[in-house]
Amino acid sequence: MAFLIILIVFFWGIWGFVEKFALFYGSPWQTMFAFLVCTAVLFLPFTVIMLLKKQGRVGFKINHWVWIWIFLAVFTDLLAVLALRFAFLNGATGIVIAVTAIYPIITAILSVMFLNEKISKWQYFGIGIVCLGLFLLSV
Amino acid sequence: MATLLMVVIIICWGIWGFAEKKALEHGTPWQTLFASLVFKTVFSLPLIALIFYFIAGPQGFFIKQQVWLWMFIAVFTNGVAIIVIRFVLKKWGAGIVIALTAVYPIITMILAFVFLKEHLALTQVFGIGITTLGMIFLNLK
Repeated sequence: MAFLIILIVFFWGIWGFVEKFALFYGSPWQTMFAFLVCTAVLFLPFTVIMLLKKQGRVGFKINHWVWIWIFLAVFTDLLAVLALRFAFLNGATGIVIAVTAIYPIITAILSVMFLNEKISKWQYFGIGIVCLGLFLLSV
Repeated sequence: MATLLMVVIIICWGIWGFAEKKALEHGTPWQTLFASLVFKTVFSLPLIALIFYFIAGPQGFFIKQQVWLWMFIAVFTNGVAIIVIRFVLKKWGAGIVIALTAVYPIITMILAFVFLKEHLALTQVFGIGITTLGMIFLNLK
């Protein structure tokens, strides 16, 4: 698990850095539009190929709950990204990033309440410390 | 207004991690990825294009090639992370995985410090240390 987590953190870390580079040449709306176009043109066909390769045509028979939960995931993600841009207009960027860094707490609460996940007291403490660290990073 | 928007962001991203995990209870990582990309393409892209058109007009769609180049790399790096996180979420709890992966701004900050010569304040260095300490606690049972 540790290796996979490092991989995610590393690639998302590069992603944030690359987004910053793109903003040297275009507006936030242009970069967002280009990102979604590239996702649709490159990433979607790749996913279809992988889905066919791993599961065949059966893979496309997707349970309706997957569509419902993914719709919620995409909707909330998009809403958060849009709200973030408007929050930047209404408040200092550093404060917005710092305060919103506490979102893993919401995921942890929902996971314990509805997924029956077990989180030890040390892990609760860890979530708090990570959020505090992320807050300090943005101040 | 900013406070209300920040609350919306925290709740939305908090629900995002939870919803991804719920979807993985009913499907494979590749299926959830496919569904996510379908929704992003079908709903987000036209919406963004529409908003963008009203803000910038048709001229706004003349996007510099550097933007496309960097966005290609952004999609690739984000894509790797998005694929891998599904396999991790399928196996482990969302509460811990989302907290562990939320530390990625550290990498962005270090890269910006090294390659863009951005200033790193003492509080940020302290923040990196605190976050790393928190990750150790997250690994304790």
